[in-house]
This record gives sequence, C-alpha cells and structure tokens, in this order.
Amino acid sequence: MGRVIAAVDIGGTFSDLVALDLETGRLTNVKVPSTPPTFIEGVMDALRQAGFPPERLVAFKHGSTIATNAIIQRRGAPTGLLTTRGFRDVLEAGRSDRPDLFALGWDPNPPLVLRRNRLVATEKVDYEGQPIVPLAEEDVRAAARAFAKRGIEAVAVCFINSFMNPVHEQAARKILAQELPGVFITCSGEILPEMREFERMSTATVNAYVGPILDRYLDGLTAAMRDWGYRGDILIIHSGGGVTTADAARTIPARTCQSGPAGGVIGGALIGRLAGFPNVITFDIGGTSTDLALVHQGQPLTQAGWKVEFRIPIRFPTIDVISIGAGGGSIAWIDRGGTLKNGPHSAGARPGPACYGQGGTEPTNTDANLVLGRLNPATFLGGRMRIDLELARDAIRTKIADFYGMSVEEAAEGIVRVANANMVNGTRLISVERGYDPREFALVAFGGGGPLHAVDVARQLNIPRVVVPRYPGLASAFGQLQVEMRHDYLRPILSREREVDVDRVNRIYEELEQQARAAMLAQGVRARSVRLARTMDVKYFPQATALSIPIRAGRLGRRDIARIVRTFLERHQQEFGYTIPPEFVDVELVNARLTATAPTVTGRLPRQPERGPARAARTGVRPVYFGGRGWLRATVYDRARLRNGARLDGPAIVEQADSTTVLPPGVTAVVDPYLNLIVDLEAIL
Amino acid sequence: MRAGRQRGSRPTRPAAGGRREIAGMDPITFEVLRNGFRAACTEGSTLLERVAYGPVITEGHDYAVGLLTADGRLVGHGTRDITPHMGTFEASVRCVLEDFETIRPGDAFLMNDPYRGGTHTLDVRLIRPIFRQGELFAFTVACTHWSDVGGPMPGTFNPQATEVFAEGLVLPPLKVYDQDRPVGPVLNLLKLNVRVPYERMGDLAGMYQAVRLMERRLLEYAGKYGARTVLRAFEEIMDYSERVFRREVREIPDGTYEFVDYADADEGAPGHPRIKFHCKLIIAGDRVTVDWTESDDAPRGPAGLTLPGLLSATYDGTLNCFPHLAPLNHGIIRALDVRTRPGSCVHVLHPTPMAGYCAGGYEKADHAVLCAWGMAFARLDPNRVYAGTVNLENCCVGGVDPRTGRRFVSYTWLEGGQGARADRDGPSFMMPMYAAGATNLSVEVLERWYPFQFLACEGVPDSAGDGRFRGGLGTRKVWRMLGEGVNSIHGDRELIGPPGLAGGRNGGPNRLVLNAGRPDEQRLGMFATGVPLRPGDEIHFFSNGGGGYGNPLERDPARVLDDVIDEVISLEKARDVYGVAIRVIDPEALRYEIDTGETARLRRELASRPVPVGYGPGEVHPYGAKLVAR
Repeated sequence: MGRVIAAVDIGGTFSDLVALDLETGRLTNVKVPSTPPTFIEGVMDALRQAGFPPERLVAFKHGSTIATNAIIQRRGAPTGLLTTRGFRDVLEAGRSDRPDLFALGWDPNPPLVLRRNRLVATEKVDYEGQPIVPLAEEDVRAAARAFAKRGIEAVAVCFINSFMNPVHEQAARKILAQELPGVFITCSGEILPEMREFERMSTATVNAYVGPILDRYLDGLTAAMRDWGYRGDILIIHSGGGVTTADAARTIPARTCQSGPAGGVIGGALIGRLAGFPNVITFDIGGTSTDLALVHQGQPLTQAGWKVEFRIPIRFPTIDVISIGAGGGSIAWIDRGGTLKNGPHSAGARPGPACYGQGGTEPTNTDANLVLGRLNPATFLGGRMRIDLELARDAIRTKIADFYGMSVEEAAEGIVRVANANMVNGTRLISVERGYDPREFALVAFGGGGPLHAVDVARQLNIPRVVVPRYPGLASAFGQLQVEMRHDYLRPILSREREVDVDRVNRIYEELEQQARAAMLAQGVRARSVRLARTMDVKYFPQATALSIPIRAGRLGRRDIARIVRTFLERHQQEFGYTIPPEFVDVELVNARLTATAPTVTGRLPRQPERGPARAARTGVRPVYFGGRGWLRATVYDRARLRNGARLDGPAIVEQADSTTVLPPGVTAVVDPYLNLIVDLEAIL
Repeated sequence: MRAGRQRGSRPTRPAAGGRREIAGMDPITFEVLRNGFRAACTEGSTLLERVAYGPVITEGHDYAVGLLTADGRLVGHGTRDITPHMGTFEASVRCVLEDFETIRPGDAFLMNDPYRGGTHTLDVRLIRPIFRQGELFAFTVACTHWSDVGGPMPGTFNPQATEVFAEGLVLPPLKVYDQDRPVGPVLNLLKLNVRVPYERMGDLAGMYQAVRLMERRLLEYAGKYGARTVLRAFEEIMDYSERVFRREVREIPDGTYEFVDYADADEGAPGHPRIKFHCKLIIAGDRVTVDWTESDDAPRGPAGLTLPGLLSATYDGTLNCFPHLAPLNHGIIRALDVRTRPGSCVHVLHPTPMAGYCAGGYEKADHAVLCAWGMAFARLDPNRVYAGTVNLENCCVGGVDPRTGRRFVSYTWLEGGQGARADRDGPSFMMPMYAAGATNLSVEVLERWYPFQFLACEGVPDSAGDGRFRGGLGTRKVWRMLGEGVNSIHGDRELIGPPGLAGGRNGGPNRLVLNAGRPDEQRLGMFATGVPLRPGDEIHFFSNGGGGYGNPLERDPARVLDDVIDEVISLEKARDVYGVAIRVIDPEALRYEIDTGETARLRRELASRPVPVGYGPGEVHPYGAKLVAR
C-alpha cells in the first residue's frame, strides 16, 4: 500500500468516498449514510472504513451540499443586509420576473433576508466610482445597534456602484466590525466587483448567509481530521470546478455551493481524454435528474454565474451544467389532455420505483427499463437489491398501457422514448444553443442510468461515439480526485473599445495577477506552479450579455485590443449568425477576468492492456425490447470480465454492479486499454 | 433550476382513455414533437434576447416568437415571451397571405400595421414562410418592440396624438428579405424614418436569425418524422387544448359573468373622460362567448385597442386561468367567440391612434377577462381567482447626453404589486401580468447608459390594495437629471386602481411627479408629453400596488403585525383599515405587541362604517365586491 489521495462528497442522503492508491492504481469506494446536522461523523466514518491510515493520505478533496442545503432549507445564519438608502428592496425584487408566462398563482420563495433586516445608510458613489455623497457613519452605527439586538450573525454590505469603488463598503465594514465583534461581514464589491446591483447583492447575501455555517463546519472537520491524524490541507471543491484551501473557502463560502456536478464533468472530461476524445458531452443520469455539460478541447464550458433558486443568483464562474428532471426514479404520467409525460416528479429513494417493492405504485424509468429486459432483476446493483418485474409491469399497465390500449411493452418503450426526448432537448441546449455541433463530440455516459439511455440519445443527435467508463457509478467521485486548485478574479473595464485606455487595462490585469499569485502563495503553492489565463468579457455596447474572449499574457498594446475585437466579431458570427461592423455600433470591453490554476496531487487511471475476446465475458442471451423491432435476442456480457480489445455487436447488454449498458442492434462497441467501452454509432446514423 | 410554488397545476388523473393513437401517430411521437416545437420556439426567443439591442428587448423581454400553420393558425410560442404579441400573430400572417400572391422560399416580411395585424406601431414583426419541397409548410414569426419608429416624439409614444399619423411609421407587410438577401430600398426607408437606426438594424438582424433558427428546427423534425406527421401534430396540439379547455368550461355553471374596468382618461376628448371596458363572459355548456359590445366608443386619444390587440388580451386573460394549457394556440383561439362593436374602444379603426394600447386598453381588457373568469371560477376553484396587478407605465426621456454628446432615448418601466389571491397575499415587485418573462431595469446599467443619477428604487409603504389578503407593494424609482432632456409618460391607472375582489381594496396608483417635495413640484399624470427637463430635476416614478382580496378586517392580526414590522404598512393603516392596534416597544429589537382588546373594539367599530365604493385606489371595486367565494 502506498500514498493515497481521497475525495469525499457529502450528499443529503449518502456521503461518498473515493480513494486512489497512487502506487497500485487501485480505486476504493465507500458509501456511508450522511450524518446531519453536522455531517462530520459521516466523513470520518467513510475515511475509517476506507482502511488506509492517515499518514498515507497525501491529498484530501472535499465537496459538500452544506452551503446549498442551508439556502434551500433556509437554515443559514440570521443575516442582515446594509445597503444604500433608497435601495432597501433590491434583494427582494430580484429581476421581478416569473418562471411561467401564465402563472399568477406562482410565488417567489422568501428572500434570504427579510425586509425588516434590510437596513440603509446614506451614501452615493457615481457610475464612474466617484464618491459624491459621503457615507453617513451614524447610519451604519444605527444599523449595527439594531443588528446586535436582533441576534444577527452575518451582515452583507452592498452599496450601489460599489463595483467601481468599494471605499464606502470598506468604511462601513470597519464600523460594523468594531460594533459587531464576531459577526461575519461580506462586502459585495470585494467578492464580486461586477455591475448589476441585484446579482451582486444576491451573491454577497448568500456569502454572508452561509458564511458562519461553513465556518463552523470547517472548524469541526479540521479538528476531527487532526484528531484522526491527518495534517495536510483540506481542499474544498467549488462551483468553478476547482479546489481551494479551507481558509480561502471561508472568505468566499458562496463558491462552495454547487460543488457536486463539477466532479462529474471533470471526471467525464478526463475519461474522454483517455479514450481519445477531447470534445465530449458529459451525460450523468442519477435517480432524479440528468446532468449535462460540454467539454471543448479538454476544457469544461463555464458560465459567469448560476442560480441556487429562481431568485438567488450567484455570480461566480461555474461549470455550465444543465440539469433536467429525468432520472431513473422519474415518474411517467398522463396529463389531463391524455398525453404521456415523464418527470420531473420523482419517486425518490422512498418509495422508489414500483419494482423496488417499497410501496411505490407510479411507473418510473427504472420500471420501464426493467420491463423492456434492459435491467436484470438478478444482477441489479450487483444483486444487492431485489427488484420485482411484476410490480413494474403492473404499474405500467394500470397507469399507462390501459389508458392507451397498448401492450405493456409498448407503453414501457414509450416511457423511455419520452425520457430520451427530454434528454435530447437538454443535450441540444448545452451544445447547439451554445454554438457547438454535437456531431463533433463524444457522449460520455455515466451515473447509474447514463449507459442505459446514452446510445439512443446520441443517435437522435447524430453523435457518432458513446464512451462508457469502466465504473460509471464512480466517474463523478473519480473526477473530484482530479480537481486542480483554481481561483477566479474579475475587475470591470467598462470602456468603449475606441476610447479604451490600454495602460489602464494592463494595470488591471497586472493587479489581478499579483492578487492571484499572492493568494496562491498564501495557500502554499509555489509561484512557478501557478498558471494564469486571462479572458475579457466583450459585447456590443447595447447588448446585455457578453462573450468571453481569451487574451494573451504580457503587456497589451493597441493592436491586441484590435485583435480582441476581431475575435469577438468572429465569435459573434459563429454563435449568433451575424455581426454589425464596429463603425455602426461600439464594441464595449466589459470585464477583465483572470483564472489562476495550480496542480494538486492527482492520480492516473491505470492502463490495463491485457487483451481478451468478448466471448470470454458472455454470460448468456436474453430477450430485450427495442422500439420498432420488438423483442430481440440480445447477448449479455459481464463488464468485469471484458478485456482490452473485446468487440461487442448490438443487440447486447453489458451488466455490472453500478450500471447497465444497452447496445441496440446495428452498433458495435470495443473495449479500450482503460477498459472504457467505446460505442460506434456510424452504422445507424 | 426553478424553485417557487405553483398551485393548482399538479397533474390529475385523466378522465377518459382508451385511445391508442393520437392524430394517426402514436402518443409518444406526438409528445416528442410537441416538446420539440416548444423547444424550437424557446431557442428562437433565447437567440433574440441574446443578440438584440437595447434594454427594451434584452431586459424588458418585449418580444415574442411564434410558429404557425401554412394557413396562419397559431401552434405555439416562446416560453419567456410577453403575451400581447403572440395573440396577434394569426392576424399578421393573414395579412401576408392576403397581400402577396406569390410567396417564395427565402422571403421574409416586416410589418407593424396595428389595425390589420398588430398591436401598436412600435411592435414590429418579421414573418417567415417556411417551405418544404417547394410547398408552403408553415410560418415562423418574431416580433420585437422597437424603441422608436419615428413620429414627433422620441420613443414614438405620443399621448397627445389624435391620429395614427402622429405615431410613427405604419408598415403594411413589406418584403424585407428576398431569397434571403436584404431588400436595400426598404431598409433605407426605415433608416431614414427612425431615430438611432443602427439599433433597429440590430433588432431586425436578431429577428431574422430567430425565425430562421426555428425554421431549421422545424424542417429537421419534418425530415425525421415526415412532413405529414408534423402537420398532424400541429392539428392535435390545437385539438388537445380545445378538448381540455371545453371539458373544464363544462364544469362552470352556465351563465353570464361580468366585469368592468376603466382606463383613466381619453386624453383626446374634452374633459378627459374615463373609458369603460366591459367584459361579459357567457358560458353555455362548453361554449364561451366573450362579449365586449357594451364597452365605450373609441377614444380620440391613443388608449384603445385594435381588434388583434383585443383578441390577444382576451387570450391572455383567459390563459392565466388555464395556465396548464400554455402555450397559447389556435385550439383555445377558436374556442372563444369574441364579439365586438367596430369603432368601440376595444376595436378602434384607422386612423384612431393606439400607441398607448398596452397600458391602456390591453391591460384593461386583460384584467376584465381575468376577473370575469374569476367570477366564473369563484365557487368552483378559488385557485383561479386573481385580483388586479400593476400596470405598465412607459416613461421616455430623450435628449443629448452631456457626457458623450450623443443623442439618447431612454424607455423605462417599473415593477409593482401583483394582485392578491383567494388564499394568500400577492407578491411585491413583479412585472405586469402579461409580461412574466420581462425583467426590471438595473440602476447601475441605467446610470451608465443615460445621464441619470438614481436616488431610490424601493417599495412604497401602504401602496398595496388592502384585504384579508393584500396585494403586493408598489415601487418608487427616483432619479436626477444630469443634463437637459424632454420627458413623456404614457401609462394608466393613476385614477383607477388595479381591481380588488371580494371586498378587497383596489391597489395604489401609478404616478409621475417632477421634483416631489420641492417648491417646483409638478404632478405630470400619466399622459404628459414634451415636458422639459433641466439638470438637477428629479423624476419620481411610482407604480401600482396589487389589488386586495376579501375584507381587510378579516386579516389575521399577526400578519398585520408582520407587515408593520417590515414597514409594508404603517401603524396608521393597521389601525384605520385593518382595525389592528399595535404597541411599539422597541423597534430596534423588533419588539411590538398587538393590543387585542383595542383591536376587537376597533374592528367592531370599523365594521359598522360604510366602505368607500368605486374604481379608485383604496376603494372597493363594485364588480369585484360581487364575487363571493365558496
């Protein structure tokens, strides 16, 4: 046994540990029940069960839903908000929109800070950052007095135009810190110097709201890890698809929300790269949802922000993941007009699909796949879970088939088709709508359900290859092991291209780089390990959304600015199909952005070049139902026995404890040296 | 990710069954196509929003896209679009079919004629015929609000207009793309007649890309499933909506359900009389007649509706009570028998002006239908009863920005209170009911764009319509001019509040006041034009609170106390309208107490007093009061 790296991901129900022995390449997976409210016992249970001593652990990465859950369940710290006089309701107003066009019955969720705790101070900074009305310090003191009496534990400070000049926010913070010792204080312009008051205020408020919660959690976890004997860093996974040290995470706790999907995307990207596909769409199907992301030239697509809930945006760069309500437990139902729907309601873990025999009577995707012969009752979850075909058939017959006068098989096939159609639309959103052609990508299918649906979804989008990793159920956790250190920085430029002061742009990038290097240094990263990548947000002046343009390192000149504009015009043409010559409309340079990354200890998946024929893994033949073809005899293979070079022809089913792969007639699949299954769809496109 | 609660839309068990096929295809293919059409429209509107110019589109979402059959029946529209446009698309396509004998692949037609196929002159639509194997197969349409289409006023809104000739360019269907090449002379005509032409060319380019994107998607489906299957799916989408709609209508007791709403004033007529919009919803079995014939004559000023605009309002008010039937399509449209009197305020004729249709007639007709359905559903399903919601105000400021020397036209609107529901308060800070996808405007963005300095944007205490459940708060936005300019306002509902129901009070007023609280204060009303602005002038812009539901004296005192603590209502209002006496102990620590004895006494006393009846803010709406819940 050698040095080990490990990642633990805390979910609402289970905590997952994955560990990689760097010498042997052996992967260990431990699943234990999560232990709310502190969750720490679950992490320690998983570490102890994994069976390696603390001194062998050389890197520990950790993702959790603690911050996200605190928001969703409204169990964050009692939080106050201090803002510019006259702007007390910005947080609650949000952008004033509703999610559906004809939905006067809809209610926004309550804001994280109620109106009574949103207090104001007189001050004004103009749009260029000039203070024009001084901060009324007595207002800040009055607010502090009220917050103190009300038991407020965290305060967000967000003044109008503070992204151009945070001077008043900083002054207010100084007073609040004096008056409210021990209270967690966040200034919006410091964590997010970006235009648009609501989005910045929301981000700062989330930061304050979860700050004390994350602090307490990290205190507890650090102590428990020390007691166990681990002395190294606890690296916290964040929404940007990177890790940061625990201490850095405490200053921007809002970034630790949404760490879950990042692991899957990074795992999918890595598996794609090993299999020879730098362009992949990751396709992760769990019990309640399908997560889709796009990786171009090895880099996951990111976006400038995301939303925890409809009215709670967090404007930190985030891996662009589209989540749709279609998973194994999603329920099929017939609406009032008589058409078949699938999801987003889910049977969840309890009662679960009808075939689980836990009292569920609604037909789910899992039930449909069972009826179609795609899942095997004998080997489901490695035989650890008994599932009942007759219960699945009953649910589909009574709820769906009888209504349409169809056979149970036809109804089950219909359920899967509707689910797949929803997944196809989601895949189009993450690819076509972002300006990428899915035909140039491979679909990497993982999660328990990904390999069941992937080939059919790929076929509908003319995606020629599907990659199924050796352990689809572990792909996401494996991805977490591979996450690098990452920090993102942002400063407004907000200048028309014709009028831009290039020296100022250079100064901004230099300052951002100093800031990034200092932060990395403080986290124990050597200067030469730090990689810096610059981008710039660029748009036509009147537009609301910008495109992110990569920028070269070093001092920029006028010609670089011209090159940035040219790249912007090309990208605009590519994504939106037209451009307007800059003579007619100004191009605006909006934000300077910098991403700093540094390697962490990561491991490699071992190559397993030993060859073997497919027939050695053959376990039998069974009837499987395929739409338009009816019942066909499909060869069944045991994934554990498939070796490098094996070639499989559809119709076939590949079974393993954590997933099942469906190969329809006409496709072939080969096993590569990493034991990935590479499915070739060319013959059926 | 979408959170929030939506009641009344949980699927129920289907009533009937046994149909193996839907429109000659299996039900699964049908569902795939239906989702596909919706996704195609959503892609179209997403593209439009991302590429278009100016906050009216990118933040106000003042656009819509649609998919129609080859004979001009609506199949669907985008899911984030605003609703006044989509109900007019059938009329727009009909105009193209009437005006052009030959339509060829690669054509696209631009029009805004409000009388035949639109709403007002500012809403410009691009109509794209889609061909498959040489045959006309379908239409796609994209419509955006252009910030200016010429005329005497920057931004084109002109409340003093008494003829359409003072409301900018009127465009019949014009071929603007011929075999996918722009038609230069037509574009030149446009550029010469609008302010800030490059922005309009950007809007046009966005619309063109959107209709073509939807075209590509539709043709992909036709290629995959066959053109005939796609056409049959169109029909079934309509049949489906009509079937469910009629089934639910059958449950409503036969009868006539009436509601009346008023626009503040006909600015073109002497004495500025208010304008009546009278909706009679007649239910007989599964037949629905919407009779508008008792509405007032057409106003002289631009507050009325053209027929396509009225139809659109009727559809929107209806669908808000049938949200599960969205998107709007021809199945609903043909199930509504709409009757009008040509020359009335809901069916104005050329050359009656109409630029203010949206805040004027549209919003009134929309509410009158919504509340008439509310009367119909009162006993059956109180989840479909909604009091009145904030109305739009179009506030335009034009001038030259002293910081850049450039001409600018700002067009701003304001969020406000949504109406109360039968079992809970209306939310605050919402967009008008017909603009769910629209967003409010960022102060920081506006300060960069225009020579304005913002002093406030926040809720106005006591602006909500009171009731057992109150409406949402209205908002005030205050800004100071940094340069000279000219202001015009085109709104409504300063004098007539968003209707309260079942004894709830009407919501607070829309208002525009120059230099409020200063010696040079000037109340501008809702219909001012050409108001000169000097540097340092302060514009105070207020929006409606939502209408209330039920008697305020029946509101739970604990909720009244919560509202006092949050400064949503004042202590005085708690006492005088809600009859709740509250003792203030330590506001800094949020310590207050309800004086229960005094509250009981107050409530008895207030119950014996007459309530103010009328259409104004804070009054009890005479028709709304007739609504008696289960």
